[in-house]
Amino acid sequence: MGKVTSTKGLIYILFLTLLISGFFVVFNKSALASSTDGTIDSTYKYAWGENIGWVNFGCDNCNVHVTDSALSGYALSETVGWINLEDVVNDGQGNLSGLAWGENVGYIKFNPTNGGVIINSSGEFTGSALGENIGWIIFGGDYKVKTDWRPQSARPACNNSSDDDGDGKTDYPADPGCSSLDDTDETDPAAVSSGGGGGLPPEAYNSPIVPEGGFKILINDNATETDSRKVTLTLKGGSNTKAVWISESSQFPEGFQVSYNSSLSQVSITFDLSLGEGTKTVYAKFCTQWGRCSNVVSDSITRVGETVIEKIVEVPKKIIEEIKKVPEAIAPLIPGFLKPKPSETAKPPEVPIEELVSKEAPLAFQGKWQLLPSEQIREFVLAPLPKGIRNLAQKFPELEKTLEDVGIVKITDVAKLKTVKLTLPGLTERVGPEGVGFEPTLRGKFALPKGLPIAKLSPQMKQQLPTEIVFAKTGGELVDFNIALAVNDKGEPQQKIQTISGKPLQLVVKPDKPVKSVKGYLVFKSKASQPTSLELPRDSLLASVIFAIPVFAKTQDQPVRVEEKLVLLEFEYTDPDGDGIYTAEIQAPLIEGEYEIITVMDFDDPELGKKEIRLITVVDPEGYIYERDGDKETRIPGAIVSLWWLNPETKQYELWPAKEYQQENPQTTDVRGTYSFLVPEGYYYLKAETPGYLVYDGKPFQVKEGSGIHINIELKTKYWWLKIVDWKTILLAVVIILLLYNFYRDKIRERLARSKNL
Amino acid sequence: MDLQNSKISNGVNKPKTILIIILILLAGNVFLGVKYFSVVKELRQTQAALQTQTTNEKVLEFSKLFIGKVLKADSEIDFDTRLKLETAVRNLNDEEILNQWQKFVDSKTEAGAQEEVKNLLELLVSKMRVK
Repeated sequence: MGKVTSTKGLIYILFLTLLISGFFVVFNKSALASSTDGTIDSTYKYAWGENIGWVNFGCDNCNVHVTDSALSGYALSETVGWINLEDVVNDGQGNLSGLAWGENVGYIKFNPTNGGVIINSSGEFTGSALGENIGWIIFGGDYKVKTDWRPQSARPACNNSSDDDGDGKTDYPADPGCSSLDDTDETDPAAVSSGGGGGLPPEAYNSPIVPEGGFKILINDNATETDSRKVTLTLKGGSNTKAVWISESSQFPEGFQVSYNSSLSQVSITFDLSLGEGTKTVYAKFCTQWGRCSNVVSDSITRVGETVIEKIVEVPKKIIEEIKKVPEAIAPLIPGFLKPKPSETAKPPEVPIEELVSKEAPLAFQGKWQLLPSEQIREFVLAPLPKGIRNLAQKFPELEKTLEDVGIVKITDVAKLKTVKLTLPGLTERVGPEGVGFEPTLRGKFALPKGLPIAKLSPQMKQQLPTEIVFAKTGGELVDFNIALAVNDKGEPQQKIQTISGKPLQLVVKPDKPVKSVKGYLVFKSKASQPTSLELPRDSLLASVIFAIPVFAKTQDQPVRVEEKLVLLEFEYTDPDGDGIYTAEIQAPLIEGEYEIITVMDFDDPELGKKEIRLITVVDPEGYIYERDGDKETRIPGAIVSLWWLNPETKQYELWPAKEYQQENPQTTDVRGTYSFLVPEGYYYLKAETPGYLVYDGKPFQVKEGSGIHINIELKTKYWWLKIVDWKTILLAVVIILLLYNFYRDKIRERLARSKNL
Repeated sequence: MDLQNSKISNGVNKPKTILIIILILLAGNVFLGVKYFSVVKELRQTQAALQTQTTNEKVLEFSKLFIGKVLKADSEIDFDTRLKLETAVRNLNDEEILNQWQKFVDSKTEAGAQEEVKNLLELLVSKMRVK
């Protein structure tokens, strides 16, 4: 308990200390300032420079003082630093002149032409100063600079630094006519008229003549009580009485003087008693024109029944003034974040826009110039398609038509190819049913579309085979790869195929001229496949006879640079039957990614030199069978994957005859759980089964020619629901059940006990 | 006995009731507090979005005016239009754009004006914010 009390006591002491400290902080500051030696207000202390932003006249170390003769101290600008105000002159009426100086801004004139700074009777700086390098500094608006110094004309006569009554004495306390700094009259009450010259007249030394019945002061005709502060004083003076001092104190510290008409027997005036109820005594002394006064006389009255309204009405002005100062006094104590933000209106008025715009149009607006560079725009807009694509379009009328149809006619349209995937319709139809993509025996019937091995091509067909294009086949040359036409970022057409890792690839090329040798290089390009802007599937090797003009072969400037590229395999094309068609068989890389098969033709004619053809090969990973375990996958070895093909003749799905394509169907997955098929076009579906798992029966899908099937298949165990709950979950459930059972038993026991008690 | 029991139970229930009320009030305060802060956050986001939108609109407005009245002009641009342009560019309250505008206006050669037009258009586009 004692501890709590002592803590409370400590809190009270701390609170009181803070309160007192705040009081001293507030009132100590204001005590330093005066209307003759003013400081800058702690709130209103900013001027605005049109080019330098805020200028602070009341910063911590600014120490700015305003006196009747000059300014002193420094102002601080947020952008240009300190500005010395020592040479700024004040004429006493608040008209500032002279120069301020800052090392970063040069001179600032306080009374420039069309400007000038004045401190008004409220102590506010108004107007504008002009800096030789920084332009105008504006004083005024909502965020002004304010001081407690006041112009002489606005100060009371006893505090205006001038000898108003001409007695050679200035202001309070030097001038005897001044009772305080707030006194508005310096006139010495005793020195009404000296007559001038050498000394006072003899009557000046006479005492006041005592009237009949003596000097008197009567409050409300000698009444004993009053209910109002306002009373009537009846004064009775002598024949030489000229003035009467009246006060509620016998010492007359705050008394006032009234003139007295001695021709009357008595004079009545109204007088305001001091606040509060009780006995009030008013003192008076009667004086001659030479300042000689009578003894002090007095009268008393009791004040009763004071009303509240009177109190409010009669609050002295001084108190009101003090109360008005409170917000200003506590302003420094309020943290910055609680103060309202400076409003936009604080900014100085801007120069009217009409003055900023010249009457005469600038050159750029005279309409004489082409503001946009037409040559560059023309070049950009009207540039044709890249040469490679144009050649391609020439050789491939369908491509040209397609490009025209989709509005790809200029170089600016190439960007469209990134979002538009173009396919060339009717290419297969163009060569079939007379095409050579079908076995002659099956032509006209429904059958699996097969490519034709090179060896089985007739001499006429071999003649028609386009030169300098590398074709890729697989499955004993029965499956033609879907060789797409791709356009790279430079606008160059490229060949591109897509295969599955580890699958065999048969490459075929027909050089344009006799060659010494044809070499091939398998080069690694990147891990991920590069996006291509245009891909046009060419349906089969033989269907592409329209590619009569070679566009992919380029003269080889330098040999394949091993140091720059990762050459994985180097191989030789052969032409055993001497028909001018060179073939090679390689294995697709096991690691998926993008590769390049570079075929280099070394011509017999030394003038032709060497030419290389690049074939981009995207190697997809094999498909695999797996089981999901949380966010992990477990490969399933030994699963049997079978591929079913829709026979168009029977309209039934049949097991795909893989043996015709040198493959197996069904396949049993290895330890990695992988499988893959390379198939011709058609509709297929996959089936996967293995003991302990539910049978996977996939949905049918379409395969375009030469595409690999490598879908990852998830198998679910027969008891998959067991995987959902692990032993921890079961244990937790058991504990919860036991707890609930325990609560239930407790409840039962409680009921039994209650019933027994009853 | 029953009276005593009910008195006891009343005595036990009172603090419980008070506790429940306090808990409900606390929960209410927490809920309202969370709600308040989320609303304040939303308000700030909305204000920021509004600010961006206002800026975008102003920039677009000026760009439209600039393209329509300056780039497409085939004769001298009159004083009123220039006044409009000047007002619009100053309304953006963007010193960078204003400086670039001044550079364009002060161009002394055709090539210089073309260069400054390009810079101004680039700047205007860069000032527009999309989310």
